[in-house]
Amino acid sequence: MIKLATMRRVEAEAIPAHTTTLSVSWLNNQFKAVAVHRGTVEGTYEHPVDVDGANNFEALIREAVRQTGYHGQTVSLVLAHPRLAQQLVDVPPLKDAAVRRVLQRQAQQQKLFPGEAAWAYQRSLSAKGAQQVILHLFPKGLQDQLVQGAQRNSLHLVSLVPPSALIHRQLARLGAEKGDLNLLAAETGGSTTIVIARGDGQIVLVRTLTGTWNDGPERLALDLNRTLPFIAQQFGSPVKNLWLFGPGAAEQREAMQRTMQLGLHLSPVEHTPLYWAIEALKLQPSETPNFITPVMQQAPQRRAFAKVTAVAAGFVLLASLATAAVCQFQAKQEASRIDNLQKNAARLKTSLDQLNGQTADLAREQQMVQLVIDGKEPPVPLWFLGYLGEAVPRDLVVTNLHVKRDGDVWQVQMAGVPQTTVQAVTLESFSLSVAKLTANLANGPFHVSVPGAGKTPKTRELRFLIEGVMR
Amino acid sequence: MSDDTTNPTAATFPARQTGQPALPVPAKSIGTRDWIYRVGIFVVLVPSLALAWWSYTNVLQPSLEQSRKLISDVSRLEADVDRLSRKFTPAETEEITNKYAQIPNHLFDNTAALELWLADFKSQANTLGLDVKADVGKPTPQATSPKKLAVIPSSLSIEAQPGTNVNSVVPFPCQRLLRVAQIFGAQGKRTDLTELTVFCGTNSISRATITLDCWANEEGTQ
Repeated sequence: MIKLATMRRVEAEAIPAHTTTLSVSWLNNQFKAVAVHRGTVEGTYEHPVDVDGANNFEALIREAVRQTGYHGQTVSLVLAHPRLAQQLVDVPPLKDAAVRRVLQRQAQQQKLFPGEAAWAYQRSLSAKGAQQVILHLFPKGLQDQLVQGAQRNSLHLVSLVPPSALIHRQLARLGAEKGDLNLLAAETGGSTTIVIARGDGQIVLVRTLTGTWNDGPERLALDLNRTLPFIAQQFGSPVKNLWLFGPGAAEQREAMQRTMQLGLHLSPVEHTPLYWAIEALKLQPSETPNFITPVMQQAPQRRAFAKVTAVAAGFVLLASLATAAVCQFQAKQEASRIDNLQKNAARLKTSLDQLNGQTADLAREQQMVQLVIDGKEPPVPLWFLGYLGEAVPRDLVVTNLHVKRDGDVWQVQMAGVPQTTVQAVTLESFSLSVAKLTANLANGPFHVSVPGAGKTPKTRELRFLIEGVMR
Repeated sequence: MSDDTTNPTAATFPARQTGQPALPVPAKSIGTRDWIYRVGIFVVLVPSLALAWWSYTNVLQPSLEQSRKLISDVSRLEADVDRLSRKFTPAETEEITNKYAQIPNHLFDNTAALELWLADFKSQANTLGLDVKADVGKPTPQATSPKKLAVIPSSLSIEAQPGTNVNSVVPFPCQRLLRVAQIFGAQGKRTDLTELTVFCGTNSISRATITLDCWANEEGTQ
């Protein structure tokens, strides 16, 4: 029942629907590929013969793409390789970033191959109080060849994982007791990969053994027997369950069991030729040791972003150059316009100066004309004298007349006496005549303003004096 | 599978062709290439934006401002020219010019010319039976005049010659005195009568005093 339930649970997991990739398993010499488009397998490819050499990856990928009709952009690779090794490394209790710096040094020190090492890691169950990680090591040069092989096919290698990651995943799903240590040995294309983990999924150890149960079950059983005490010693707990997975496991179990004290079980997970390529798609990236770092994984996005930035920068450059050119062109046009305007302004200034001179001359002449000719005053006093002949009544005689210009007005002073030769003069008749004279002066053409004009002057002497103003 | 050793049992693909350029291997982290790229973008963007900004602010903007200022200046000048052109109409200009040309005819050239005119006036007054005594004052420069002018105050004392019937047409002294106005008007020079004092006898005018302002060129009076 436990087995059936486990099978159902394992089989129920499908490829995530958003996945589009060419998933490749290259276990030592066996190359297989599955083209997945949006979670659906659209094509598969198995290279007919064994093939090795990382420099062949480019050609293998090209063939896989051709055979599967894959039209995505990424490649995921499960790789079993003689140079792909694991080390159990003690690390100080640090955070991930610090651990990575420590591991970078450890990787370069512990590698067993020449050249730089690429590495990936996963935290292991701590033993005897020390924090441990499983450090996966692989030659950086070979990794670069794989990356370049994908790039030459216009693909991007986003995942390079050891098969132990898939075995660990399978082991976690076998339904063992939480605290028990379990071992799963899987045949990985000519080698055997062993993963030991607790029932709760906490990984303990990964080992890769050369040879398989198909080559020599006794030798493999011997290797397993050597591993078990090491585990018991390191982690203080023996391995409770031991499963076998892969081709030939059922056939060789009996032979192996003969030399092993611990009971061997066959993994309930069905092995298919494309198991590794398909199961790799179900790995959780955050829990998977991946030689392709996040920075490398995001390289295409960065390249795309860089292209966009470059295009934008180019556009800004062109726009700036165009703006500068337009500004220069406009400035040149403005300069020409300014030149014309300056000429026009100079011409107008000359005209204005001339007109100013002419106008000033004309204004001066006008002032002179107004002063000398238009300002010429008529001989008003003589006209007034002539008018008196008409204005003075017959019974009056003017003895003195004085007319003088005073600003804008004429001051008039007139004195006189009665005409004695005409008739007898009375004071009353004299007053009436003087009143008539003043009225004539006031109402006449000269409009002499005489205070008391029109009234009969009160006089006691037969003399009159009229003072007035003529405007 | 092995990396560099050939497995005789395994099929192999042809090795990479010689001379094929190696593709760049993605960096582990943001490396030199990325920094060079970023610096390159910065080097491209900043100067190009600076060039555009400089072109606009230092090249185009000053030109536009100068152009605007000049347009304003030209408009103002045009308005001024137009205003001045309209200040005097051609008819006014002609009238002013003609009158200005006549100004010398209205002024005495000098004191001698004035005395000559007074002598002539005396002579004409004598024919009317009037005795004239003239007194020429000191010339006063006219400060308000744009041209140098002077006013020469002159006083004429006129006495009627009683019983002298020199001309049957103007038998009365008063009428004879009024004829003096005609003499002033006829001579054309600027002589402003500013004061008149008349003394009359029993029947008629016996004596009169006339004060005149005679206009002359200042140069001639010095």
